[in-house]
Amino acid sequence: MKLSAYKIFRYLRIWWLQIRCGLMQRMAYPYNFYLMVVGVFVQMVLSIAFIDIIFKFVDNISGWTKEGAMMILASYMILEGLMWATCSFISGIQRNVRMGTMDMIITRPIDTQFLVSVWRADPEDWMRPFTALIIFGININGLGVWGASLFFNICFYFIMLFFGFLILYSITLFIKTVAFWVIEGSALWSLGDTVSKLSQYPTDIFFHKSVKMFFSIIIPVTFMTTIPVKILINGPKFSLMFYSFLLVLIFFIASRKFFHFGLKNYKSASS
Amino acid sequence: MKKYWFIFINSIQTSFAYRFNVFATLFAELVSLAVFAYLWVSIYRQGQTLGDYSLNNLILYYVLTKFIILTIKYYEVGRNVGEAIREGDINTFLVMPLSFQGEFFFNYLGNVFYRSFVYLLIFIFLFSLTPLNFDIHYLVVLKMFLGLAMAVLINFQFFYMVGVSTFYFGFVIGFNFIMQGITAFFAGAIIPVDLFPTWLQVINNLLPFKFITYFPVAIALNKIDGQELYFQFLVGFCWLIILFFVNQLIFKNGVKKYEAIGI
Repeated sequence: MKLSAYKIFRYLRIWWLQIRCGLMQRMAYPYNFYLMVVGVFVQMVLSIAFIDIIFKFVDNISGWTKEGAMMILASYMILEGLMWATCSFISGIQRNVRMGTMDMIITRPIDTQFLVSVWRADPEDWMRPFTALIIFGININGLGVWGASLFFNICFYFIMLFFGFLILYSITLFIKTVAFWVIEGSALWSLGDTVSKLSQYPTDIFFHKSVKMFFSIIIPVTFMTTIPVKILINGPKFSLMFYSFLLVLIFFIASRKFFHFGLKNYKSASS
Repeated sequence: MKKYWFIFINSIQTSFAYRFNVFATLFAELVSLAVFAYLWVSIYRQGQTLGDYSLNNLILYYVLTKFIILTIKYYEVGRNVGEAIREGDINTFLVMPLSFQGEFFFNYLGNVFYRSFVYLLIFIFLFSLTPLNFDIHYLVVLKMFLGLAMAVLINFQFFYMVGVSTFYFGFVIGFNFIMQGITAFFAGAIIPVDLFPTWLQVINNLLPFKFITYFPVAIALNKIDGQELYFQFLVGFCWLIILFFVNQLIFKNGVKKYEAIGI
């Protein structure tokens, strides 16, 4: 795919317009929007309370201290927040397939995967990364990393978190593409949500080697939050970073191919 | 009553039409249940414990909780009632000899009946494959089902209240979303309510949420029995009556404000 600077700018502009449209749609019912923001915040607070209550009874979870576990939770909030706020967990696929409006999307002179991805964005979910950054700020001192090494670790952490975002996006695309076959697939949301939620706990809790391997290779949840936080605490490990990059490439290309395969099966019949 | 019976049956038939959703949701919830199980096992393997829960009982707690969550689905009523008012579908009910609440109640009951039947069979099958130990007397099963019935009724009344508040807010997805999160937490779906700090338990005892999930599960695990059980049933019943009358009031005043335009 040959992308010129103009093309990239055009795509960014469309994305920006979609985000603005999302905000305008939400602001049509301002009270509802504010309640949604509060709702997201409440959800985040309850997740923090969950970890907090567990640590009232225990010292660590599979070797993770409270600060470390909170960092993983914060990373999960950032990933989930970005997935909602930028592409709404790619809900554009199932919605348009079910309503029969996918025709209008595939006939537009723009990449279909891009358009269904940015079709909806939920602005209230920016509250998630915002809350996450607060947790990040509160717990960073408890990690025992200081000075320049902390600065570099944070940089590598965000790079790894970006890789984690791309992995989560690709897995979600895999799941949501199934909508081309099942049409009324509202439960696909649950599946995508489950994958995302898996990343809110340290994957070291999976003490069976086979399960650990499964969540490192088949559904690489480990690389979404646990590894980035490990890099934040222990510093960069380039073999892990390279492996993470490799996973991003494989998952992104494979999910895109699967999406186009699903698109070929689209029968343009709403339910 | 016959008309509501047909609503109930129709609801079950509609549920059968979307089997993929039922099984996909089940799969997703089982994965999340497995993650919880791993979390607790990893903690107990290190010799740590959570309150007075044994590992077996803690996992059992989450299995039963998951069954209830899947069956009663907190948010469903609020969303459906809210949309019916917002999109103007309620107009039909205002001119028909059919109760608006009755329609949604029997529709919800049909969904609950279908889901409880399907999930119960699957849960029993999967449970038989695990090493979990669940000794339960048939009388406790009976009490648990009464607790479950109360959970279904209170959940319906509570989220019906969220739904009919559309008359005032215009759009209640946000409100429903907040209440869903709060309900899940205070009902004990995320962590057992008896593990909350004392001050939070005191607050929670003044709210109806624990009856939606924790109460039937606590009965099954023999955490509530004797006089305390009857007292809690009485409190739950009071909540049911209060919510019912509050809903009547909200609906009655809401209809007066309603402009029948499909907001």
